[in-house]
Amino acid sequence: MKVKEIKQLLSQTDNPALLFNKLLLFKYAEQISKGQEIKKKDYIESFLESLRGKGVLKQSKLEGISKESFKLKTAYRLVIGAGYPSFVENGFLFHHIYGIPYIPGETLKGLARFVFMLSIAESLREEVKLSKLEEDLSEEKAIDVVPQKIKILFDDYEIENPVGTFLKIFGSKKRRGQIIFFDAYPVSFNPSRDFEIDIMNPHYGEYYQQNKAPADWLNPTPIHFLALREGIEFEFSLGVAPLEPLREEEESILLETAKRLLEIGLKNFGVGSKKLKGYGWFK
Amino acid sequence: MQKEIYLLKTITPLHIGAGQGLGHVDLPVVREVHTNFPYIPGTSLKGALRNWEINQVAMTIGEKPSQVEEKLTKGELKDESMLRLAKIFGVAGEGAEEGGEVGAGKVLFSDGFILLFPVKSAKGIFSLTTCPYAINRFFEFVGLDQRIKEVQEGKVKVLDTKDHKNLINGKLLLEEFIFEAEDSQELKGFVELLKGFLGEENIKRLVCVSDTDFTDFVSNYTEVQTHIKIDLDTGTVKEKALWTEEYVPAESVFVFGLTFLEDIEYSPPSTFHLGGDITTGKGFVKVQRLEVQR
Repeated sequence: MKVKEIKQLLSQTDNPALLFNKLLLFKYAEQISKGQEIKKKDYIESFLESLRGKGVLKQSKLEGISKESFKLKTAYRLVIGAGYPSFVENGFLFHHIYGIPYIPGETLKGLARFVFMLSIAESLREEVKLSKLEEDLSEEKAIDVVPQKIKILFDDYEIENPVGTFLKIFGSKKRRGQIIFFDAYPVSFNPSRDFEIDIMNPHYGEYYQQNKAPADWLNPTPIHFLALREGIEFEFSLGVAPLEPLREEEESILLETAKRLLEIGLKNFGVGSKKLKGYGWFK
Repeated sequence: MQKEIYLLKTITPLHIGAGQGLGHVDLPVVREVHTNFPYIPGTSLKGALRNWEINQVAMTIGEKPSQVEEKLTKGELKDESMLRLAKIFGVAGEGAEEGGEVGAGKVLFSDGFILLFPVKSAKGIFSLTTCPYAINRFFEFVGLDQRIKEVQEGKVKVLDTKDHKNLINGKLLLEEFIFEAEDSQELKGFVELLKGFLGEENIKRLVCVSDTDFTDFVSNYTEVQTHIKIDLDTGTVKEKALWTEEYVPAESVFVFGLTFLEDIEYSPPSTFHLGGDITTGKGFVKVQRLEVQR
């Protein structure tokens, strides 16, 4: 009874998260109970079908708490949260309430931090392992070989007192960082237009997983998954959480530096899955 | 003595931790013992607001917050802004011992009780759920003589079925549960009270489920995020660095009270930060005073 009822309400669903992770399953309840396999392609296609014609989705604004923001567009498809559990092999990260895709602040902070560390490593004469550099920074150990001024990787922007700036933005084991990296949302998300079905096609599955020879008699196994299309505009927001009063000038330097780092990261390293295949990059 | 009521909405997910958990989440949120509802302990609220005020004072007099705090505990209150701080939040330690004029704070901070909990809805994105117990506790808390009756399990009361954002043919689908909706004028007073804070749009998302259903929602449908650490040398997930953390989702509404034992000019800032993970944007809340006509 319940299954039938939910099936009737399905076409009216406009929360993508609920649809993808839960409600769509009811459409296939019969097949599932009979133990029949559901094709990922069908599943994702009916997900897209159900969202057709649905309006733009919104999230609450960061009124008064973000201090700096900028917008970038996805330069290719974006897949985020592919490792999340889902009925089809690859999951997707939806906002817990608004149901729209987003990029967690944590991911963005990690990315900006990574760019900063790479930039420091670049400035050193001797090669250094990033993990070692990270450990020294998080212990606030003196790293005296770092020049007084460095340039951000792929950018002309100069950072004075890099170690001190790093610690102020990202924190250490002793003190937390003072720049806030908020979750990034699509500026205007249209569920009927912005999702896409995508495919990966590993040819040598048995070679990768079962240690067999990568022979030409192995068959490709297409795997369909959900992705975001190219050209979706995201808004990235930063805030300040001072541990002690920051001079206005210092605050704007920290914000500008964090913004540059994040922007360079998004344009050159990307976020989410399959980055090496061009996914998750921004322009 | 005067009591002021405030409504508090989470703009971003909120984690006020209960320490290490034994359940399925590594870092659960703190919950009331008797109801299992998430709540905001008065101490967390007071602590966060105290820090906020200390930072303000530190900024104006050009000292470090830690210096201001030290003065506060030592009872060095010559400055007017210091005296105000001490009156609001009280003085502990040495400052109190010396028979200082201030002692305990003159403003009492209550716990924040949950009033509305957002749950994904098939239509209209999400509903703001509440239950008779939560509403009646709220009425009692603000000193209103209204009460609403029980709701049957599987049913949901809304003020106006015609003008609601979440209903499909009189039915409501929250997560994977179906509810039968019915009009209830009983909710009128409650809705009127919250209208100004929630806004036209969100007030149409308000639904009143049974106490049991509400307990299920706040227990099992909080936001759980998986966190990892990336190993910088390999670019893969670092071993033994995977944990789950629970959050009260954005759009939740709590209510708390301030009781003034003395006449002090004080009101909380309209937005501030509570709980953990500030640097990744968690824990931002918005508050507004609720005027109640008794």
